[in-house]
Amino acid sequence: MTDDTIVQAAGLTRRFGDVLAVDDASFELQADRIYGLLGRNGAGKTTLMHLLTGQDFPSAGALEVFGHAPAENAHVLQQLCFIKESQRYPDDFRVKHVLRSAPWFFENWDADFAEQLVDDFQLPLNRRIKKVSRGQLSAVGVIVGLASRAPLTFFDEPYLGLDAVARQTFYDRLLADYAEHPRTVVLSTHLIDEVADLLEHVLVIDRGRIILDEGADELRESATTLVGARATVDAFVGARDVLHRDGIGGLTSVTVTGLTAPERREATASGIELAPVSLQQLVVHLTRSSEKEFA
Amino acid sequence: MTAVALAPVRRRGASRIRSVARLYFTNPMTIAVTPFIVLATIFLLNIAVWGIIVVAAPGDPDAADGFSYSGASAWIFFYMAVVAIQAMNNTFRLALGFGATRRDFYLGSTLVFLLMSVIFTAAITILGLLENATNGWGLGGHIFTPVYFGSGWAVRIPVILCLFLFFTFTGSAFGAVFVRWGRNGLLIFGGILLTIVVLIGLVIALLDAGAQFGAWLGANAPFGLALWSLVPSAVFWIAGFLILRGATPKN
Repeated sequence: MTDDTIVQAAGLTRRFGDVLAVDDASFELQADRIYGLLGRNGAGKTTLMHLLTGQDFPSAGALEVFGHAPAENAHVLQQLCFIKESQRYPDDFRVKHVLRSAPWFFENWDADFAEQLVDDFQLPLNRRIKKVSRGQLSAVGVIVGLASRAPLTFFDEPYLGLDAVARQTFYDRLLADYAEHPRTVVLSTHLIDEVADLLEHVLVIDRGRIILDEGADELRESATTLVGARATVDAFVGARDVLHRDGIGGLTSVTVTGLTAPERREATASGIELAPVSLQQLVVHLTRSSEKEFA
Repeated sequence: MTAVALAPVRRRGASRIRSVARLYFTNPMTIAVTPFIVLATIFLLNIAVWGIIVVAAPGDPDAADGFSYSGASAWIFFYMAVVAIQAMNNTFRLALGFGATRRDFYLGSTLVFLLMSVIFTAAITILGLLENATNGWGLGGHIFTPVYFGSGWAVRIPVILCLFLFFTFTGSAFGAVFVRWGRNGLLIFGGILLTIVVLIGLVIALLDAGAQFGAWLGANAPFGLALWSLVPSAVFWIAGFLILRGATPKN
């Protein structure tokens, strides 16, 4: 634990009946970073965020956010903003009501920024929340999450229904605002490749367990794809740990873990092309292999 | 790292509770406007019905007597209980989404319900004064000053206020049950309360104390009963708080 640690979970568990939605999760979050919380549907991402934001209570384990258990701790909760895909609003609320009331709860609220975002997303302020499209509803959450500038902000699949242009707007605004107002952001998402460049650290959760907790750069460097003639590539790969194998005709592409610099030179010298591995591929692979262990 | 560092966020309890209360009034329609529309509708319907009676049976003393026993104002109390349940259910998830604690949410809700009880007590008082000044809207009617509220404003005002408190705090207990356990919880909670009431009735019957109980009710109505109602009101308020403390936002 360093001075910058703002979240510390040890053996964190949330049980619903027989189901372990979060299973013995231990990890830390550091201040002023963008985290990706990745995993399949039902892997436990939302439950984990419910625990971190005090909306749900742990069944077991220790959890500290800004040094305290978050549930029912006003001083902790005031530092948080949790934008979830399933956020419900009062039935009679219009879009403007959400934006009017948010500043009462978020000390760092930037009204000008919120207004600019409303323009960016072309949000109809006067429309009832119940009548807006899925994408517009997501935009409401995105605006609250960005303009609140909470020291610890969670976005739980914030992009549902947003088209590619609007999603890019979100990523651009997030990155620009993060550069000016550093804070910790946890982005839970399926669209891994879209946000790969934003993420500084990756947590992968599968069946309630944290199966990966690593810096995004280290993670990308942890594997390489080798492309070349089948015989050459196979000879080079030998007994290495293979993540993925693909081939067409005499060509083959094999993804392997951990290559040292001399090994990379050796591969290039023997006519093999080295390609970076996408975060998404890695996560898919890791999730699959963790499932095999369970099977 | 550039520009402005994030300000340390430390807001006091009172300010957080006020924020929750304001949340209820962000769109004032449901909580502040609709109850007045209900009140106005009750009033107009009552006047219309009495108008029909007066036209159909002119000078009938029984009819005039009946005008003193209007139960119309009871609706506004039930309506306030429903408003309390709905408002809590409506607002809870957003308040938590905005980082409010359950405690601050409950206290903020309580503030709103107290405020609503005072405002509606004042409204009924003003309408009652108008009613008296116009000889019951020209018909000798008692919509806002029925016999159940007692006679004289020194009795009526506290009676009305206690009734509002009873219904809104019962509503907040039911609201907390609904938020925590959903529709089924509401049914079970209602069933338990009904059972308790029936058991109390049974005890009174077994003790053969029906007549005494009736006499006690008669002797204390309405002022003493209104004060006694503060006991169940407080119990409901505390129960609502304890139930809500364990509630989680559901989808």
